[in-house]
Amino acid sequence: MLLKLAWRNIWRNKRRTYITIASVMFAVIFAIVIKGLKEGMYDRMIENTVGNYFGYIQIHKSGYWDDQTLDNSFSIDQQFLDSIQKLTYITNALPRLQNFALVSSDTITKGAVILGLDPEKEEKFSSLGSRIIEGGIIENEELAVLLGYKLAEYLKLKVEDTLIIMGQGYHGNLVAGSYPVKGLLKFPSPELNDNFVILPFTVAQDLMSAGSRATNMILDLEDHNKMEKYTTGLKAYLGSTYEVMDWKEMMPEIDKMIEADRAEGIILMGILYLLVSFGIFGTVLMMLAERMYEFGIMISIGMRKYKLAFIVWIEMVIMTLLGGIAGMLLAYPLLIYFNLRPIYMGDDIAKAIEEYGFEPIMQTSTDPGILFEQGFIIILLATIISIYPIIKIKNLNSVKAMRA
Amino acid sequence: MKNVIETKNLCKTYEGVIPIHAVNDVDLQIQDDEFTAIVGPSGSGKSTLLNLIGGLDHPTSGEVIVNGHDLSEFSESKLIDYRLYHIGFVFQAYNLIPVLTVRENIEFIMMLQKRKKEDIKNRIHELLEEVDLLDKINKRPSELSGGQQQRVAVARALATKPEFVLADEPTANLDSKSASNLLDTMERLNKEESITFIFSTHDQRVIDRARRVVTLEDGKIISDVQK
Repeated sequence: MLLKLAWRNIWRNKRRTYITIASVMFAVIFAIVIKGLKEGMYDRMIENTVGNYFGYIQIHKSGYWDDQTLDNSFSIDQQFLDSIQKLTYITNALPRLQNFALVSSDTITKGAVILGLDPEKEEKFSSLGSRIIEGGIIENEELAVLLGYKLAEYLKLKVEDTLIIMGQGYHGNLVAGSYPVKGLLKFPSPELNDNFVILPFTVAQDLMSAGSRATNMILDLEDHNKMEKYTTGLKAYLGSTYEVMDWKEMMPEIDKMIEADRAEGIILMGILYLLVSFGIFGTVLMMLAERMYEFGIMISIGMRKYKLAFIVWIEMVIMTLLGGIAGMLLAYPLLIYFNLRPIYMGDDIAKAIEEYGFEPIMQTSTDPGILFEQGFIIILLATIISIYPIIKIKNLNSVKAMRA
Repeated sequence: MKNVIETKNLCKTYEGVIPIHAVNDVDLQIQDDEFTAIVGPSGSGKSTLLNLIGGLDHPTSGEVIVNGHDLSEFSESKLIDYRLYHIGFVFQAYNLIPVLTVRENIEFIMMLQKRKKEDIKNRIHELLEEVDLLDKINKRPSELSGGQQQRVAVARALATKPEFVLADEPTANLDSKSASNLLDTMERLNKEESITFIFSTHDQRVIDRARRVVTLEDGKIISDVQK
């Protein structure tokens, strides 16, 4: 009966109810789309840097992350690989050898990151082949390199040209080699395009006189959401000889930036919902003024005030939920649409965004959690707004109410 | 005959620059089966006295004793129960919940008493037959005349099987025919069902039908006439 009463009360003034529901609906659509764009941006940022390069978890020799030299590399053998791969939550383990060196064409020299990796495993992990924009992919033990396309542009190198690498290898050995450019890569992350030279893992080991050593072991996980739990487990499993780091430890600036941006988003949402709240609050005030006499009658005949307050709360929740659900139903297709068809930024804006190291694409996240979050906010909003009428009802004097 | 309601030195003063003694030292006994009108000009304290008897307002001093219990000793929660289980209220106008049908308005108060569904259903039929509105059972208040609405209010007041009914100016907004019908219904219920009715009114039609007339002036009883 109380629910029936609440439902019918909502439709006493249809126009006012429709306006209230519409205001909630548009706010929810706006909030979901903005949130979807932001979360999509974070997802891409993480995927581009973590999924395509860093990996969610890395294993190094202890101390490597603070002093990234070949002398802090570790020996890698089949027994070590097996001990990692037997962990069921690890779907792929990729050894890498990374160093800094000078790279040159005929006339131009530049400092670059030399990255030795296993092309077959990397294909499964990051679809390396799909990044090739010119030429072809390298194979294991092939004496050839892949270049970030921006680096190639800088060095004025094309596919089949020769790249010279000079640097310091394991234990300070001076090392040098020349390799044909087999392909050019385009990564979503501008930093990788500007600085990276990729060659097969064993070729890199030979070049750097590193024997069977690796600097990093990249781990791909069964469930990325459990990364922190896996990291803790691995730290205990491998002991102090190795350092196990997840991407948040390796790149705290990205994590902090996402957190800061999320906080900014919360403020924006807060302002939006505050504006909507005032609209709903106006409805509440009018509703209270109209029904004060009726409340007085209901209390006089024996209705308990908390039941009356419950009816008013339910009315608020139903009204905001109707708007919220309508907003969710309309917003989710938008999230799917902009996920399948991301917005590519125009040239000038794209350049500016790339300068900050981000991909100039706006793609929405389709995580249903965004919808549930808004649903929760709406019920919270209705509850907060209901506080005023609930207090009014609690302090209601039925005699005065019936005289009003 | 026993006293259902008794007031002793009952006073209600509204504080202000000039205090208003709305009810001033009223001693009144109401017995079983009475059909009593409390009359007097506007501002004489009729409604205030009814509110005090109904536990809707608290006296400044004095006592309201109902079936031997002093209302001033009741907590807020007990007062609500007192109103729900012992009193039927009929107000001047707009008594009913506009979004509920006639049936639901009567059902509502019995639901507050947590009565069984079958009991509720039977009682609704019984009451609407009494007030001759069975054919309007699914109508909303806005679809009824003022008189019909007040008869539904009487049915609702009786739904809880109260010991007495307090009616505050029940005929004030009714035409002669509607008022007459309403009073017929109340009079019949008083005689046949032994329900005590106490009215506050300045409507001569009610005064004429009442078997006892208590007259108030400036919050004091100036006459108490049994017919």
